[in-house]
This record gives sequence, structure tokens and C-alpha cells, in this order.
Amino acid sequence: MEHTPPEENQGWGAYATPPPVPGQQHTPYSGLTPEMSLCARVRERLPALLENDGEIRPELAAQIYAHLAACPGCAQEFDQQQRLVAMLEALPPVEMPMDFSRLIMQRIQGNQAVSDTAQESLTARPFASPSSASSEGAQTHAGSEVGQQAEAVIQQRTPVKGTKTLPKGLLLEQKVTRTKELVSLTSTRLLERLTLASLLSALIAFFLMSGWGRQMFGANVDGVASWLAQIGDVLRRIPLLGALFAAILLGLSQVAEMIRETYRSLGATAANGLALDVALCAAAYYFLALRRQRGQRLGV
Amino acid sequence: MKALAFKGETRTITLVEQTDAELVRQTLCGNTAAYNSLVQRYQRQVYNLAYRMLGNAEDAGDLVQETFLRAYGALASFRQDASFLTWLYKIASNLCIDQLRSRKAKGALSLDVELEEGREPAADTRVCGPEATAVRGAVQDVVQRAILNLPERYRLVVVMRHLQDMSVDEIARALDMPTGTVKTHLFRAREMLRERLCPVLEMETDGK
Repeated sequence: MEHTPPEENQGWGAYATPPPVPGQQHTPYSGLTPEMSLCARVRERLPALLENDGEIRPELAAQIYAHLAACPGCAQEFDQQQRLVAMLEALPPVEMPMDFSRLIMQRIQGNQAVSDTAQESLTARPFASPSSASSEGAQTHAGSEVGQQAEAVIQQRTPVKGTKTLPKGLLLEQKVTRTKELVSLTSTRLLERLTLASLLSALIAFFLMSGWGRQMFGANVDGVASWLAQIGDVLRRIPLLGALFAAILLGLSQVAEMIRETYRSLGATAANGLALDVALCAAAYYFLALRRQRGQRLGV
Repeated sequence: MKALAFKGETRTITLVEQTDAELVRQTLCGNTAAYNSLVQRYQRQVYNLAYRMLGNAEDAGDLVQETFLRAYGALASFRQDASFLTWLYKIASNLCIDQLRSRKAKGALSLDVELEEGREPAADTRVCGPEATAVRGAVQDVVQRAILNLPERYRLVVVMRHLQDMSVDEIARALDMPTGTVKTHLFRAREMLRERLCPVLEMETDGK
């Protein structure tokens, strides 16, 4: 941003007011006096002056520069704006960690290969259907003038049903791949996970609701607590980090003791309620895990 | 990073634009090598925009790939009268905004972590000594943080105007905004930056 120094200008017009008294405030838009209102008007034009894109006529620019030469407050304001812009523009360009072109071309060619095998109705052309192109957020002029080649290519294309329901702007080939992934995911993984979830829930419910289960659970908690305490004791002999791990394990054993005590004092009814809660939580957790995984695979 | 590689030479600019149009036409005819040339020509600009918007190298790299993939998919609807780079910026800026919003929805990572991941390029050490270089690096770090703290739209116009060296008109075209709105955004963004960078600006003033 280079600005020519203010030239001597006799015809100051609206800006021909005496320089303000030093120490006087120059807050814009708050003024009641003519000087302040002038400063406010000048400051309003400073961004345009900084932009230097012809919005401000040369005569007006000269008048503003004349005012800046006379008014320290406005001059400081302009100076800060200039410094900020200089600081921003001094940021160096960032070097790319790698050349992305090979990766991009591989992905494009990969999409084409998938498209060739999965969709016989598609031509091997790389473009999304006109419908998906027009739904692309970055496109505002889909269907407007394009080259003759582009029109010829569009005419060759066969619109594929069902693509509108998928996330907009994706390549058709990506949609096909992802639909296939979704199908395989829902048919195999969903079943696996649901089975696992119901088995685990049933196991937890059994341990907490049956008399034998409660006994086993209590005994196991007991066992775990003493086991953790023993390991903690052994670890304590190791210098430095050993003491830390020992503290952690001993803390865990305390927690196990606490669970056991709570469990004993709760009684059967509370234990049944707890069992139900735990089973529901386990089922909910697996459901959410499944959804998250599906979301990641779909890139949602 | 300059938006056009050969500023000041009108003839060269025209040639570059013609070549872009020609490459687009060849790609539309099925020549993928032509698209490769377009990627190589403009990936740096897109990467820089993405890096300054997102604050880390990994996300910026992903965004470059996604931008060029989407551009490829929608190439048939690219208007030949618009600049290819402006069109790319339009796609990239939409993707940046989407990414920033999804980050917000997921609970954003701390900016500190992001800045640690993405490394600033080494400054030119030929002229200045190591101390001056370190100070300049620190200032650049503070400036980048201040930019990353701006609201998305303001960040976008500041990066495009002052780091990508785009004109207000080009930004307006890329963001589908009236030029008046771009100017207002720029003004407000700079005011916010001034507020946040006040100590640095004052330090610079004292230094001089």
C-alpha cells in the first residue's frame, strides 16, 4: 500500500478547518464540535483511502491527506491501519508439505474405475450429472453458458436415479462407492454389532439379577480389589514411576471396594434396577458406536 | 502468494487465462492430464487459503484434495468467462466454511494445538540475524492466531484480500457477495484485528 504524500492544497473546501488543539480527543462519531465531526468524516473515508481502488477521487484524497498532515489523532489512526495491513501482507506464503496433484489424480482415476465396474449405465466421463452439478454449493450458474464440448458431454450422460438423496456435490462415482459401503455395513456389521450388544446386555443382566450371578459378581469385585492392591504393593518397590503406578492401582482397588460395599448395601430390588440401567446403557453405547462408525464411513 | 503469477504483464495474463480455458476444455473431452496441469498450477493458492482459514497443514491438505475433486465433478458447469482460480476459491471457501462449522458442532480443537501441528515456513534469514528472525516469527504467529480468532466470513475476506492478494471485486465474485458487503466485512475484520493486535502494533510503533 503506497500512498503519495499530501500535496499542498489551497482549496481544502469542507476539510479546510484549523488543526485541532493537541491533547484534544479525536474519537470519531462522538463529536458535537465541527472539528470532531470533520475527524469522524475523515476517518470514515480512511478504509477507502487505504484500499486505493479509485473510490475516492484524487481531489478528495488530497484533502484527506492535508487533514492527516494537520491532525495528529487522525494521522495516528491512519498509521495504525496501514501498519496492520502491512503486518498482514508480511505473512509469508505457506509451503505445501507435498505435491497433491498425484494424490488428486489417483483419487479421480480411482473413482472412474469404481464407476466403470459399478455402473454400466454411466459413460467413462468424469463428470457428475447435471443435477448434482447444479446442486453444488459453489455453483451458481449451472446450466448457463458452457463450451460446446461441455454441452455435448452433458447430453451423453444418463441421469442416475437416487443420487439426489445423497449429500450434495459429491462425485457420482463417490456416491456409488459409498452406497455400496453402506449396504455392506448395514447387512453385516449391523447384525454383528446388534448380536454383540444383546449378548453383552444379557450377560450383565444375568450377573446382576440372578442370585448366583450376584454372588459371582461380588466375589469377582472382591478378587479384583485385592489383586489390584497386591500389584500396587509390588510396583511400589520400583523407583520413580513405580510409585505413581502403585498409587493409581491402589486407587482403583479402593474404587472396587467401594463398588462392592455399595452393591452389598443395595439389596435385590436396587440391584435389579441397576442391572436394567446397565443393560440399556450398553445397548445405547453400541448403537451410538455403530452410528458414529457409519457416519465416518459416509463422511458425514 | 499472488493470485496471478504474472502481475503487471497484460499479455501474459491473457495467455494464462486462455491456457486455463483450453485445459478445462481438454479435461471436458476426457484428457485427465490437462486437469493435472490445472491442479499443479493452482494447488498452492488453494492450500494457502485453506491453511490460513483452518490453521493446520493436515486439514489444509485434505481441503485442497476435496476442492479439486469437486471442481472436477462440476467442471462441466464452469463458466468460461469467469477466472478458473476465482471459481476454485469459491469451492474452497465453501468447503472451509463447512469444515469450520462442523468443527464447531463437534466441539472445536484448541487453536494452540492446531497451530502446533501446522508449521510456519522458515523466514528468510539472509538479511536479518537470528534474533530478528525469531521476533518476526513470533509476530507472524500472533498475527496468524488473531486471524484464526476472527469469525469465519471476516477471516475469509481478510485472508483473500491481504494474504491471497485478491481484489475486492474478485472476492465479491468468489463469495457471491455485493462489493459493499465485502468492504464492510473487511473494515470490521481489520478493526477486530487491530483490537487484538494492539500490543504488537504499539510495539512496532515504539520500535520505529
